[in-house]
Amino acid sequence: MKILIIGWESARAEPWRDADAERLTHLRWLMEIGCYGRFENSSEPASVLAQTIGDQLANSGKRVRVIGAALAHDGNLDEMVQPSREHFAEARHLLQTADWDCGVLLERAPTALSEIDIATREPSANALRGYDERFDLQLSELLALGNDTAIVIVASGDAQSSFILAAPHSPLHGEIEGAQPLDLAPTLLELEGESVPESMPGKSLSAGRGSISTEETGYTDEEETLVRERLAGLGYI
Amino acid sequence: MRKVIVVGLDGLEPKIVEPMLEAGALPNLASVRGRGGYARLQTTFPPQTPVAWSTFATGTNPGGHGIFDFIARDPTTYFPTLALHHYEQKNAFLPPHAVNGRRGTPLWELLSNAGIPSTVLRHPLTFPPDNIRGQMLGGVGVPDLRGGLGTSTFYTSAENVPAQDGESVVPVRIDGNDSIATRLIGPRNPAARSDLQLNVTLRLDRSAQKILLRSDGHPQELEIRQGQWSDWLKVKFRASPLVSVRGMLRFYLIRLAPVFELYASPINFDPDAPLYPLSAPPEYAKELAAKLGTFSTLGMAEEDGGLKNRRLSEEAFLAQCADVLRERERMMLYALERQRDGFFYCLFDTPDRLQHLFWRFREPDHPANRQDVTPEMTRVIEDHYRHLDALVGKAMQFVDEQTLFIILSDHGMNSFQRGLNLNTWLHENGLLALQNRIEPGEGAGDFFRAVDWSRTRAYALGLGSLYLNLRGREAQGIVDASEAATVQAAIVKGLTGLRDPARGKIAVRRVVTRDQVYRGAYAQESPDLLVNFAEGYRVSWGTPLGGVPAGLFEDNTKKWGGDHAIDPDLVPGVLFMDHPFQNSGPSMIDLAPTILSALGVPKGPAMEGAALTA
Repeated sequence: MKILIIGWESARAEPWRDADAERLTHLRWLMEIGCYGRFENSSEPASVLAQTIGDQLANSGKRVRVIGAALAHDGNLDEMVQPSREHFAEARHLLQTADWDCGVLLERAPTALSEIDIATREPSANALRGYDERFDLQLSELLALGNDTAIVIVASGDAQSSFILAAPHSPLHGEIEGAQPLDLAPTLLELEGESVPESMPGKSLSAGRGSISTEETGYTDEEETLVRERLAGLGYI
Repeated sequence: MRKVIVVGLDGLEPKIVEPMLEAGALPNLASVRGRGGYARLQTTFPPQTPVAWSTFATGTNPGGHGIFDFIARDPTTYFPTLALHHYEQKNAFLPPHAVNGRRGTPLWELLSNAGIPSTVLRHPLTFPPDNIRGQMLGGVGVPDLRGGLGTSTFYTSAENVPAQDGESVVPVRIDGNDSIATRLIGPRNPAARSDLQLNVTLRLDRSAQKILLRSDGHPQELEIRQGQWSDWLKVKFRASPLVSVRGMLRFYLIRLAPVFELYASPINFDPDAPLYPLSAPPEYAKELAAKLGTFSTLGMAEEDGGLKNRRLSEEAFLAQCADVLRERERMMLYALERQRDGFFYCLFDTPDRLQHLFWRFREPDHPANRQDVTPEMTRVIEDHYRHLDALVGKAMQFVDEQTLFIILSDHGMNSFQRGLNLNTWLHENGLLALQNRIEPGEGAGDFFRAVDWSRTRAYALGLGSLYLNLRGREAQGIVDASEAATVQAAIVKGLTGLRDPARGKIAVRRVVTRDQVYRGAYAQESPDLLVNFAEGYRVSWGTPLGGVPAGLFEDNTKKWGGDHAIDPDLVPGVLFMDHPFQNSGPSMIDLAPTILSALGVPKGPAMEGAALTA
């Protein structure tokens, strides 16, 4: 299993919990299949948090690659409204090569976005909306490549931060309260089935939960119901 | 030409159109014919809406676009599947997404590549919509909130009312205050094996013959008058704290007493906030709703199920058809006003659905007429054709010297009085075996439940499709590739000219093998054989989902008394063009080359037909 950590300085503590965040379908899907929560007592930006997790994993012997360390957000508006396209492209490329264990992708929403509307070139929150949607889309392209990968997204803003964690066979679901940033590295190691070094700070969020195996179901009445449902309303039958 | 305008009239039948033209009852179509021409249009094998329009779009036989029937099957489970689209999930990290069943290269893609814009409204098999230059609104294939083609709900105070095809039945109890506490049935949640629901309260107002529906939806209080369709109710179903689905539906109050009966339409996706994109660009559906008022988004928008199941009256069905037509007309005119050049297409599906359900009134001896006394409605179909002719007249206002104007149907319509149980025929002829001691009949169930695959060489599903139980392809296949031709030949010989003893008529005109009618990239997905029925016949109601009913032939007593899933030679479509064309035997495969040629774009490499105009 590979580990992909995205540190997203999105200018909001929980961009995926905004009132109209339902349109961020891929982020929402990750929350559905994985777990999420706010970090307690953490005022550090997401880029620092993500790199810290990467450092912890590097200390326990993982080969870690950092993408987007030099965060730039200059340029014209059309470029700004794109999440760092090259960084996502680089991450996609890395996901398909095998000489690493953990990738750390850093992304920062240009602060100017919250002040300028794309369509009217006037200050507005719409630009940030468009940026979020593109982030969600770029994320989906990245996720399409990662079958056996644990995904962690850390977001920060207003001196607060939060996370989403989804991984194959992870027993962690729903909202997790009381998580600390330092808990993620041991959690990831445990999800990989590896032992957590005694010296590693933090404690695994999945401690004692075990892992979940996928269920195989055969021919069932439920399947038949679903087939009927799919064909329902076809007048010819 | 600068512009091509195509108006599709689904299922328009030449044998009705031609005498009406001669009688002067269709003046606008007659005027198009006068300037250009008219011909019967050869349709596809088989003559079904999704198949024929996909051929229109791609200019190929079905082997080139992969749609062979409304219903396909999964050879690993023998389960029937909806051929129009399916859902795929790339991996666990990504939500499932819809994938169109139609493949090949549609003409609007070639136009886009040439820099020419298209507006495509409600073309079948455009879900999910193609990303084109211009705009597209999805048609036949767009599901309801439950993921099917439309599940309605029937609320009744009667007891033990069984649910019929494509509906849920909700029993209700009227309390002392003349109120009913009940629920709307939302999307299915497969994980929880249950339905998402929304509580509603109905307050009966007997003196005013109406009810008030209170809910969390919009409006919070909806008035539903007896014998009328209500306005749309917009609702939101919460699947989890993070995911909710927005939809909308309408109601028809059938009666308040002696039995309370309320009909709820399938829950349509709300064009303002669909779960999956209904249009390309995605905002186009929203724009149409904002400018013209909201509209049915369901691919098959007419309430034919309600009438077929004898819940709704003919009048209720026609009233809803009129609403669908009005929506479509507004949409067509709005888009035509904005289309200066390029390709325009708008489909009116209603003639197809309406003819299926009113055909029986043309035939006094139709078995469906025995069961109930309905007012004589023999003129409904012709009246509808006149209405469609008027719509053609409105579209004609946008035609200038630089426009090619085309009106066409994908197939015609014919009688459906008797059904043939194809699987039962296979059973009688030793080609399909049932598990020990089970005989054809209800005990054999649907979905080939009682079929013994180890002794079965062929099976039928869909609307005339036959498959061999081929070794290496089907999960429990026993027919070797080397004997496939022999089994096919036996079926062709046995079924061709099959007689209905009760009527003394031939029920099956011919059976064709896939090699005779299909070629192209997807031909290997097709059924192995196609049964082409004679006039008055069709596969029985038990066949499409893999049933093996008792007896070979049965009367069709359903109100769905007309059909076109028969020999394509018996149900050609119609073709009108306002420019002279080569009208000896035009075929559906010729339309894409004709349209491309008019706009100065070469036809695609896979396209098989030829431009009809000089």
